[in-house]
Amino acid sequence: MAVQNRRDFLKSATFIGASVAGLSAKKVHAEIKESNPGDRMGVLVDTTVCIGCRSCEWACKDAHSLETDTLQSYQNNRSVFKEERRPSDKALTVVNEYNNEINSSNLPIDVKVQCMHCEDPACLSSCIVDAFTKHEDGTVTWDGDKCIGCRYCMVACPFQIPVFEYSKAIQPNILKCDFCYDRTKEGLLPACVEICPVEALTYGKRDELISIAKSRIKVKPEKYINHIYGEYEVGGTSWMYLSGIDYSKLNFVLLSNESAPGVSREIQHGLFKYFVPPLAIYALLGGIMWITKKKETNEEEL
Amino acid sequence: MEHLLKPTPLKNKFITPGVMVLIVLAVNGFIFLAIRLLYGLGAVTNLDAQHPWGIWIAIDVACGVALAAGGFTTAALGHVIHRDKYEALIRPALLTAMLGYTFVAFGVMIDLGRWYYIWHPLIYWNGNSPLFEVGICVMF
Repeated sequence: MAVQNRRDFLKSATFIGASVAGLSAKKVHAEIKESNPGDRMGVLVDTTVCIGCRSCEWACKDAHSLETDTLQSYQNNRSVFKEERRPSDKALTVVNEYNNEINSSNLPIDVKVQCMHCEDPACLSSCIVDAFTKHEDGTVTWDGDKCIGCRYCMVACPFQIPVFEYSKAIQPNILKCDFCYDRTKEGLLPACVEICPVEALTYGKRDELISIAKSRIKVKPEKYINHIYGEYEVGGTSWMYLSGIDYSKLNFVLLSNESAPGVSREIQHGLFKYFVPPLAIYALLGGIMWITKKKETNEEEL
Repeated sequence: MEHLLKPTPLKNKFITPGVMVLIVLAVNGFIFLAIRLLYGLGAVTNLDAQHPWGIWIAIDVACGVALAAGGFTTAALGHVIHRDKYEALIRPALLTAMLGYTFVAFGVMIDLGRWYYIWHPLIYWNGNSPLFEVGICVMF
């Protein structure tokens, strides 16, 4: 799969870089963990509850003034599930449907895809002009006034979420789920959570969502696998998932618990620690210059 | 060697078949450049959400920087290690290096979605970004 190939390539490239610099990502990871305030919000997505009505897709477009059809046309159209879709510049969230391979008589499984709002976002860390912001409640937003359109965030994101408006010549935007930041700061629910008719989406404090998820697994261990996707992935994400079957069967990317930008950030900071390495190189060059110059004048004198 | 350092008028013909081929290529490039500036990156590239960077960025950065590398090593040889007999080589090498970095900056600018904001890294800093380092290095 092409998606996986790029990830593998980037991963191996990072490993080579890391081994060259001989640095570890663990320290930075720990620093970030400690700075986390406890009031992070999140959403728990229960894929065993989702019925694939796609109301959330409609609500998202409606809330973000994207072009959209009627709500009924979304609820009645299941033909889009024939192929796997990804968030695009026309839809910030999409629902994909997968066969329940464990038992063919079981209903299919629907998975909502959107930005995960990482605890340590790779987009934010990679951005050349610091155009991303991690807000107090965990929301990761993009600032159009700074963005230069280099699309490094798209390369960096472990979930491949940010998309770019390739069709625009002037002011093309980077688009991704903004966790309905304008709504939540006024006390409203995110549009997708508000419209969900079966409460497959639960909005709340991240800590509380984790305990809700754990109790659901405990009460019905036959229904869920014992893994909350997003609890620890890439250092934790605001959006978390529950599933009845293995996440790899639902095309989730299997990620380590290390924060995604940790290694590259450590190399970057190591190379410029107190600006010593660059100065050392210039000092070395200057030294060589001075020594060779002296030798030459000596030779001339002789 | 000394005579090579003195400025002399160019006596060779400028328009040769090789130059003609390059002119055709350049005109071709300028047409695509115009389309990109008028209709966006999507009109001239096959980039998508899964492939945000293509062969374009690889070639403009890799070739431009590779051209400049010769300037660095030759300048190091002549000016840092003081092998003065290479003085005549240093000037064309430095010219190539300067052109190389200019091409990098120009090529990257065209690849930026918001090319008119290329100066933004000068005022909006993000020390965590490896690309920030590359950007600042290229600018200097």
